[in-house]
Amino acid sequence: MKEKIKEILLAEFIEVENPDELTYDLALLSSGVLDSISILQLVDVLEKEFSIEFEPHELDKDLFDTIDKIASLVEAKKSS
Amino acid sequence: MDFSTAVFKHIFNNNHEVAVIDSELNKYSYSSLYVEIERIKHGFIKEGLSKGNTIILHVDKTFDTLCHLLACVSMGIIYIPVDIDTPDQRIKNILEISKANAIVNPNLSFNIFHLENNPTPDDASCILYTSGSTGIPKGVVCSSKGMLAFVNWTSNEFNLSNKDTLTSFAPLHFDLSIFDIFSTLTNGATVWLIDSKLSKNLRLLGKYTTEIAPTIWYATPTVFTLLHQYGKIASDYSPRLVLFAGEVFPITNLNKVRQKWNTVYYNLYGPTETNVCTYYRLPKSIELNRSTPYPIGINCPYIKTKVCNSELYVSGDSVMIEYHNNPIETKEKMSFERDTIWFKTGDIVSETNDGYIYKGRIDRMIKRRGFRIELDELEATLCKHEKIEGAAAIVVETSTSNTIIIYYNGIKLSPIDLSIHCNRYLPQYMIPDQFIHIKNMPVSTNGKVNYNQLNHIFNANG
Repeated sequence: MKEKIKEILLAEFIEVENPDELTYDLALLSSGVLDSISILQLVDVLEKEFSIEFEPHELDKDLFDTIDKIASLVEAKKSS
Repeated sequence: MDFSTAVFKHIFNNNHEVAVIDSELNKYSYSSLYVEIERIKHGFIKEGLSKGNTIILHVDKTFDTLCHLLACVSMGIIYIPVDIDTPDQRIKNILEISKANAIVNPNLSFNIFHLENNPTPDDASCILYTSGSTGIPKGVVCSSKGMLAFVNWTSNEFNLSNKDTLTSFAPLHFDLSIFDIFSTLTNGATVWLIDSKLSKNLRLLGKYTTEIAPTIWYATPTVFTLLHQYGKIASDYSPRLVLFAGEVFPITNLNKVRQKWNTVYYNLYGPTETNVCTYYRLPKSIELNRSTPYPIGINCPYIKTKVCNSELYVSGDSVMIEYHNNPIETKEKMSFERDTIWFKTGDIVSETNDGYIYKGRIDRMIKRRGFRIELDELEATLCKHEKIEGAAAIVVETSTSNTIIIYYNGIKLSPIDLSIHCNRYLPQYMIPDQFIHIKNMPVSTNGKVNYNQLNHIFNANG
């Protein structure tokens, strides 16, 4: 899951010199790598990709701050 | 009636109508607002704060924050709103420039630094910090007289009443908040405070919008576009009035919003330094074949304008008093002509039967998602990195927003590290979209960066 999410981020949202820079625990929002509008787009992509739908209150931006967090969020959503 | 009397007219009446709705949808009456303001004033007085002092409000947009802000207005203390997400370094800068007496921290505790009054102009009510081209934020000092003139005009033009609920989406350091807060309270209406977190969760905001059903929205075109794209707002809701400002509303995006909300639209124009100075009421029907943006329109009644070499100059009550503790910038942007003080907007306009049409800028200030950004400030920030020798920013227009591309020379760094570097000094909306390393910065014959050349390089590789 983490690998898949990293792939999505690299394909559409984050530019890197070397994919290793984008670690699973890198703070994406609070460090300025992603902005809040990218998160809106990311949510749309995740919902399509994994056929899930987030409830409005689940979209707290802090829950999307790292690949680790995004992955566990998607996992939880998929299994619910 | 002076500004403070107008603002507190309904609060002192102590009625039980709803004054405030917060981001958790808690409701607060005018009487509870009154009680809380009095409590805070009491605390301020005990600490020795008094008229003419300045207080930084580094807090999120909550009921408590609003009470602090109003306690300031009531006591003649000048408030300086600073966004909750502001990087520490920027707060330090603002503290230094403003020489503020006190700060209210995110947890609502407060620190007093000193009690001496700064030499602040008599009628100052608040100071709004905005991007400065030198790399240091500039404080726009707004007068009570100007805020009152604006609030009175909005009350008449938009027929505001106690039946209205206004959204407060823009952060408090944005001049749109003057309308959101003060036009609401002087009319006994309700303001819905949207905090930083809710403003970023548009799906939740959309859901709440359907529940609260605000009657008036005042926000930037970007906000309306995104809210309709991501908010999933119920189709049976529509406000009675939509006011947009801060940037040009691309006509295709505007028409998409108008197809959802078929209501009255106004384009309001004015930099922070003048607040709203011209306005344009859009024609009733959607013009699907239109390709050019709507005019910025005609003068508000408290304003005089003139055009000098295509640049719009503004004079009148709502024009700022000065840039705080910055006589050099003040002198540069304000021109004194007999008994009139003109603010030079830097906006290029043309005149038509519908009023003014916005044509562009005379300098390197840009708008992105309604926020103003001095490209010079971005470049200066990038150059603070020890491995960077020079930086030059260009702007590429996309369908949704302006994209900022920054070229730099020196040692090549990873885009992630560069984002992190910028994030230390700049608010999120200012962080460039793309960083591109370049071996040699192209320069013109006069030795300055050749931006045209950079645009060519970008287009050639794009």
